[in-house]
Amino acid sequence: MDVLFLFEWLDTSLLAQISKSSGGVFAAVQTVHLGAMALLGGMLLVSDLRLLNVLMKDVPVQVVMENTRNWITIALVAMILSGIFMASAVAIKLYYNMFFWSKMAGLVMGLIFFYGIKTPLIRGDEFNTLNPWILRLVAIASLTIWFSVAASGRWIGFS
Amino acid sequence: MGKDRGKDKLAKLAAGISAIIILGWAIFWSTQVISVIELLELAYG
Repeated sequence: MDVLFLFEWLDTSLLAQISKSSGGVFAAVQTVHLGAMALLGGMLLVSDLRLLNVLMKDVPVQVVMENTRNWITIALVAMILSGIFMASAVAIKLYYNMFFWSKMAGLVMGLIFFYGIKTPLIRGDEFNTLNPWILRLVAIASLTIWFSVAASGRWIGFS
Repeated sequence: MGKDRGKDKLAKLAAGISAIIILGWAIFWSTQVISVIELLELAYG
């Protein structure tokens, strides 16, 4: 399914008018985007490195996961909303950018992996019976996915 | 009992998907070494 029409609509929307005409607003939203990215990266690092038993070894895994999950959700919402605003300024250009699609694919994969696999796996009492190597594998896969999302995002700026 | 079985299935699924992601990522990027070097040169000179 071709979604070019969505990008054409975004390119002519009110959001695009604001993002293209007001550099100050764009910069402020970009600050939110980068702040949310830092928050997301930090929380993911904490939770995945705890799963790998690298840091905070004296705090139970489930406590670390509980405390990071809400911040990850807040960061994702902020990133997606601010990202849509920023994308509206260059919507057509992004549609033809391979790294943008690579980032979106990674983001979708990351969301499914985080909410569909990692979070339910760690919830509940049965967690203690899990093989630690499965948890390590999940942590490495999570870091791999989110690193790819960040790297693709950075590469949008180069292309 | 049922919960344990569900968790077992989820654990197997998590292990399988994680292994596919890690292996796929490693295989893909190992075939792209030259492209990555060219891209880095393009980006950083």
